Amino acid sequence: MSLLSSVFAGGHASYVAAAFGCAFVWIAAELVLLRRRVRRTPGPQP
Amino acid sequence: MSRPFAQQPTFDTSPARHGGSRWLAYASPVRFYPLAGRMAPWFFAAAALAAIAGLWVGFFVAPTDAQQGEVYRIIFIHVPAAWMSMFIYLVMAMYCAMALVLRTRLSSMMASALAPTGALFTAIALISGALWGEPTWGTWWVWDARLTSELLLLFLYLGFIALESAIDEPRRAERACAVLALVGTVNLPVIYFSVQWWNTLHQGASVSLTAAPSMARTMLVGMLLMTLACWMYAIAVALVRVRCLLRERGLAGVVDRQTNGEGA
Amino acid sequence: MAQAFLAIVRHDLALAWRRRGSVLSSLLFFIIACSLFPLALGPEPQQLRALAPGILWVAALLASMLSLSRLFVQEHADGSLEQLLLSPHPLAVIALAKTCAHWLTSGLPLLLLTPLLAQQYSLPAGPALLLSLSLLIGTPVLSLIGAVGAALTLGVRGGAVLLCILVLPLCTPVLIFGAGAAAAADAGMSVLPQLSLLGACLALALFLCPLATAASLRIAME
Repeated sequence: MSLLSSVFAGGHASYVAAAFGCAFVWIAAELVLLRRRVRRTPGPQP
Repeated sequence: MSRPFAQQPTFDTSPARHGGSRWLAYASPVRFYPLAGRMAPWFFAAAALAAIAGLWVGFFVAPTDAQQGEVYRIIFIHVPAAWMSMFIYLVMAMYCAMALVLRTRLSSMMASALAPTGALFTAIALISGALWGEPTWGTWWVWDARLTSELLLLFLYLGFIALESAIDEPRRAERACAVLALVGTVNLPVIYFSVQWWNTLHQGASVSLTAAPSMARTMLVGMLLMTLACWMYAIAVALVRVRCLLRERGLAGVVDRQTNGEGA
Repeated sequence: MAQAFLAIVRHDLALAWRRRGSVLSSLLFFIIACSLFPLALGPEPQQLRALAPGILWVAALLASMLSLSRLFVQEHADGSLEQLLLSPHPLAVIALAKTCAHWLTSGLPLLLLTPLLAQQYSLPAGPALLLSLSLLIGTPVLSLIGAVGAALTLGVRGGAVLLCILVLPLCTPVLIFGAGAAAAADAGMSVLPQLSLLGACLALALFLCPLATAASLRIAME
């Protein structure tokens, strides 16, 4: 872990990117799962 | 918005006919279903707009912090997610209280619809907190009072979701989860207080993940915009999810014999 | 009402005595769990002494959780739970009686054993007794909160693990105050703040948990 930290010691931009990237990916995953659920539940039935 | 009550279904027993509140009519799942379908896209659009505005303010308008450099910008996702995780739990608890007192199924379904999104925000808050902690304090996890409370809140959310999926019968699941959410809500202040107490006792000059003491106004604006984005997103997703729940439990979205179209 | 309370407590204690194997086995779990930590952490006395309050408290917490899932199972299985729901006495009092009996068969033996187990951790007598005192005030709260969980998960598949998942986060304040009290005692500081906070938790739990348990029992039996 310390090696990783020293690699990023200069800019820390990757941490910010990782945080926002994680958030976007998880939100996208939630939306994808939700879309699959919408498609999966039965529509209008007689 | 078109008038939704142009045709009165014959099974109308809503309280909307008495006096003031037309809004109580929407407690009926059949009425709420199309309303939720119409509202959801607007909330998604509002979330997207607020997010764009918030990210622009957060990255291009807010100045570089004197102590933490650029990495402090993580607060623009960490703090809104943390605020929303707590807010959503309180809203869930409110819906659960309504479900137990008023015995409306829609209330408990709204709570169930909110739970996964609340858990998601809690997880985002935890991850972003860890990613903030590493460059700032040198460790991936900091037993900061707020992060620890977020971790316990995540456990409360996951417990709610686990209980709901473990009970087969929908009505019992809804009411059991409602009691669980209320017990958790009463417990939350105790948890926050005890974690706060535990943290200060064990660390003295504790490392804290709150932002710099004097927050520039632009930083605050950015955070508020991102919080608004998360809030609109949570509402939108909850509306879509509750429509799925209504369909799954057969309460709405089915073709009615008297009206000729689906209640969508 | 007091007679009904005592009757239920006596009934449950008699049942537990007849099946004392299960009572003893959760006690044995407590002992084994406490013995595992030195094996994992190393035998150095100073380290063990510093960790003792926390380890003993966590082990007590887990041991209480184990026996909680059985709290209402017997009544549920033989149908007497429906009779209890119909009884003229408030369901909350009945729930409190069952919780009390549970504590007498799980929490009380634990805290009586604790001074002995504290010797494994080189904890001196004074702090060990204060640890027992913190368990005395804290384990009833664990039983009370656990009873709500037991009622919620009654008859649910995988109920025992689910019970632990639901109840353990809710018990963290008790853990913090209880272990904090024992640690403060070992450090020579006053234990009054932690113990009074524990007492406050107990008072709150005594008032709210039986009501929540009763509500959960009605939901489970609907």
